Parts: sequence; structure tokens; C-alpha cells
Amino acid sequence: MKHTALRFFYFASMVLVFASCSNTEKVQESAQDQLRDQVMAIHDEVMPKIADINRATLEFKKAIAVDSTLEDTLRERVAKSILQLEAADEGMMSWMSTFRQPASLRETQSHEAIMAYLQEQLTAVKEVEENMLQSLKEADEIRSLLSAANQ
Amino acid sequence: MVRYLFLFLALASLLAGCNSLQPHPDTLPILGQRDVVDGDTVYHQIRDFSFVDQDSQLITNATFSGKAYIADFFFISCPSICPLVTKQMLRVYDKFQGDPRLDFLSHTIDPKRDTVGRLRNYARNLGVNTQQWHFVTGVKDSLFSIAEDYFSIALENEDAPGGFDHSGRLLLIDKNRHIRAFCDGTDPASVDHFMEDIALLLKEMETEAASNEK
Repeated sequence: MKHTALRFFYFASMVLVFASCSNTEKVQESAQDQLRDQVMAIHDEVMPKIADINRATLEFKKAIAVDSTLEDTLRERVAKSILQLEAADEGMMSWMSTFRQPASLRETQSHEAIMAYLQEQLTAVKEVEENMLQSLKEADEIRSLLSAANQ
Repeated sequence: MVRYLFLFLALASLLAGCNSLQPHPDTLPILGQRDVVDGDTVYHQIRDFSFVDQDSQLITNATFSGKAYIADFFFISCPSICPLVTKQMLRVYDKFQGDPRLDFLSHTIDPKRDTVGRLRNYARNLGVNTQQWHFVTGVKDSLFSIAEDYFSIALENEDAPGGFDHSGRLLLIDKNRHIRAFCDGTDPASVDHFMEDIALLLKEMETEAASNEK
């Protein structure tokens, strides 16, 4: 009888420990997913602008190649803008190619390490966003200058 | 009177709700810009292109001579919409797999990372016949330039994508290099409709071939 009670106590303890661990794991995974969603929300917001970046790049390359009457200062600014646009595009492509989903890290990394990684990625993707928006802002200004120069 | 008004409103709302279920026309329209030259309408045609596929084969317009094909733009490391689009492309592929009249052409927009070798692995992992489905890479500017050409339909169609390279759109091109249909590759219902468009184009090709034989 004593043995049976002990066995029951042991079994119940194990169930409780297991349930508690499982719950902690769920809470941690949920926190990771929330942070991942924040990262991806920034990506999803800015990624469609890649099309604008690439369109501006092609447009400016053509302008430089075709228009020999462009003033040197404007030509230089256009050339610089092309580099800025290409760097912004590469920044996003490079970030996407290295970004890892938390689910793929769970087997090898602790919760704390995954959260730190995602926090770093949040900073990184914000920087990518900033570079893309800056390059597009500059491209808009240059487009106006090119348009004025052609009139 | 009130009853008739209610009936009218109910019918109107029903019809408005069925907008996405519009019946197919007998033949698909030719999409994109058109010009009138000497009294003839000249439709937009996909320009010349030259890329390399996952098997290092040169892929040009001539690859699709006499065939229709489906075009899309993707990149392997895309974390968001590309996996959804690829899933839908696979549905289309499964339906038309082995049909000699239809090919598939997926262009990477990340040629720096999506090398021939990576594209080969990608195609292998998808388990598709690479003689029917080509995954191509090339010079980045050329890839974007051809994307602009495919998505020139945006100039004419309000529903068409404004941005080309991350739109998730699938396009149907006929054997004369005309864009005949497109859909949102992330939306299964849109892809269902697109598959009906493909069947319609194949039927048109069949009818044309039969009348040429006579």
C-alpha cells in the first residue's frame, strides 16, 4: 500500500513537472514568434519597394548612358544614387538570405540566445528599411532634377 | 413596391458578390499596351531574352517556340510570399505536368545568391521535370528589365501589379509572346481561375492547330 502511494506520488510529480516544462516552452516559443513577427512586419512593409529601387536603378543607368548633356555634378549625383540604390537592394537581399526562423534554431539554441538573435535582426531589418527609404528619397529628388534638366 | 425593391437590392448584392466568379470568355484577351500601325493593331510582345537555367542550358524566347508558358519571379531565400507562390505554381504544374504545349519559367531576382547550382538543388527539392519547368538566372539588370516587360500590363490594367519583382503574380504567355492572363499567385482562388485560363488558351491552340491542318 505504501509502495503504491509512493508510486502514485512519483508519477503525479513527473506529470506536473512535464506539464510545467511544456507550458514554459510554449510561453517561450510564443515570445519568440511575436518578436519574429515584428521583424517580418518590417520586412513585409518595405520589401515591395524593392521594385521601385530596381526601377530607379535601371532608369538612372539609362539616363547616364543616353544623356550626354547632363551636367557633371548631376551626373555624379545620379551615379552615386545608383550605388546607393544597389546597396539598399543588396542589403535587403543579403538580410533575407541570412535570416533564420526561430523554429530552426530551437534545437540548438537556448530561448535567451534566440531572443537576443531576433532582437539583433530587428535592429538589422530596421537599418535595411532605413537604407531603402533613404535611397528612394534621394532617387525621387534626382528624378525631379533630371526632369527639370530635360526641359 | 418595398418587396420589389428588396428583391432588386438582394439580386444586386448577389451579383456584386459574384464579381470574382465572372464566366470565362471564349478566348482570352491580349493584355498590355497596343498601338495601331497602318490600321493594324500591334499588341505588346515579350521582348527578346536570354538566361541560363538550373541545368546550365541557355533559355531564350526560342525555347518556348510554339508553346505557351507561365512566368513568375522568385528567389530562394524569400521568407514571405515566394513559398506561397511556389506552392500554387506546384498546383498548376501538377495539373499540366507533361503537357507538351505548356512550360514553366521561374526567374530569380537574386542572381547573386541563386546560382545555377542552387537553382538545380531547388528544382530537385521541388521534384519537378526541369525540361518543362526552367529556373533561370542571369544579369540582374536583364532580369529586372524583363520583369518590367512582363508587368507592362500594369499600365493598362488597374488590377495588375504595380511592382514587378515581389508581386507574387503568375503570368500566362502565349506562343506569340503575348500576355494572355495573370493571377495573384498567393491566392488559391485566383490561381483556380488562372488554371481555367490556361485550359482555355490550350484549347485555342488546339483549335488553331486543327484549322491549320485542314
